[in-house]
Amino acid sequence: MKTKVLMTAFIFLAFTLNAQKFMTKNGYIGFYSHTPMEDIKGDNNQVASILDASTGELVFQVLMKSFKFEKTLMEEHFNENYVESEKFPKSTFKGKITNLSDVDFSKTGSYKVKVDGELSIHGVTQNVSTPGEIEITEGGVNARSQFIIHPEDYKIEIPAIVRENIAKEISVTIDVKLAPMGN
Amino acid sequence: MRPVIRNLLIFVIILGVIGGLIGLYMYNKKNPDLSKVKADYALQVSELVNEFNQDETSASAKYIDKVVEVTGPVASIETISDSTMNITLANVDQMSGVICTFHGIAQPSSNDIKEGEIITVRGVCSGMLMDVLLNDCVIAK
Repeated sequence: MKTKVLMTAFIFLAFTLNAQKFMTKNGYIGFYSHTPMEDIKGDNNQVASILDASTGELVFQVLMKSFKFEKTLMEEHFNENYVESEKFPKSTFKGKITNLSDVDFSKTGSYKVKVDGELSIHGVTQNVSTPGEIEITEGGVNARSQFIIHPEDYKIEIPAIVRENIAKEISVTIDVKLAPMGN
Repeated sequence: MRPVIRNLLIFVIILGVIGGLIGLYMYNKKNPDLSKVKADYALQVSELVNEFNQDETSASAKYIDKVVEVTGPVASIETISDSTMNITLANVDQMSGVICTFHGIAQPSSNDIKEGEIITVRGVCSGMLMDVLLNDCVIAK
């Protein structure tokens, strides 16, 4: 009887571990704006992300204040004038891997995925659809993607005086290493 | 040209040059090196996390953009790239901790810091996500 209970407990435990949620709080999201006048790069190394391997659901969350720039003035303009970090401190992406069946989470390797979801920045939510890469490793899941966003879609107003310094298309890079949850 | 006007012109030019230099300095200014900056607040990791958990709005108003020095046990060390490293300070009995991001030469050698060791870190507070986040961190002696 005792072994039976123990076995059930063990199977239950193995099953919950196998529910396969992966997470990190140390992910990277960066963006890059290139114009002939100036290149501007913002890096955030404090990205929280969760991937549910059973449903393909994927969530990213960042604090806008955690984006760091080469120059203090860029950081001030970014926080105070453009994304208004005090009013809108967080940015969130909630989405789904649409071709989940192409990914074998039990086998190490790289898989091309398509992700659809909603990105909220500056209090504005827009649909985003982007290709990405999922890499299954011994230690967990690495996820990478790159896509373009337009500041105007998120009601981010660029004053005329610096319009030449900030690109209309901002390239966003995501790079996270997720570890199995429950460890 | 009358001397008064000439002198005035020279004065305006000098003023313009000084203004330009200040502008250039401001434009190129980098984030401060916190190893030489005095902290606005010094407290335990558990105290900082508790304040955010109890009232995130008032804790955000109090700590965001301020230099905060926190002391607590190292829960994890993550090397993100050659130039960036995250050290999480957290108590085992708390859900959240403090994630401290170090850049460049401010990164401590991972040989010097062990999990479980109690250290003090100085950084600029960005607020709370799942944990309280500090940036531009240095190890406080």
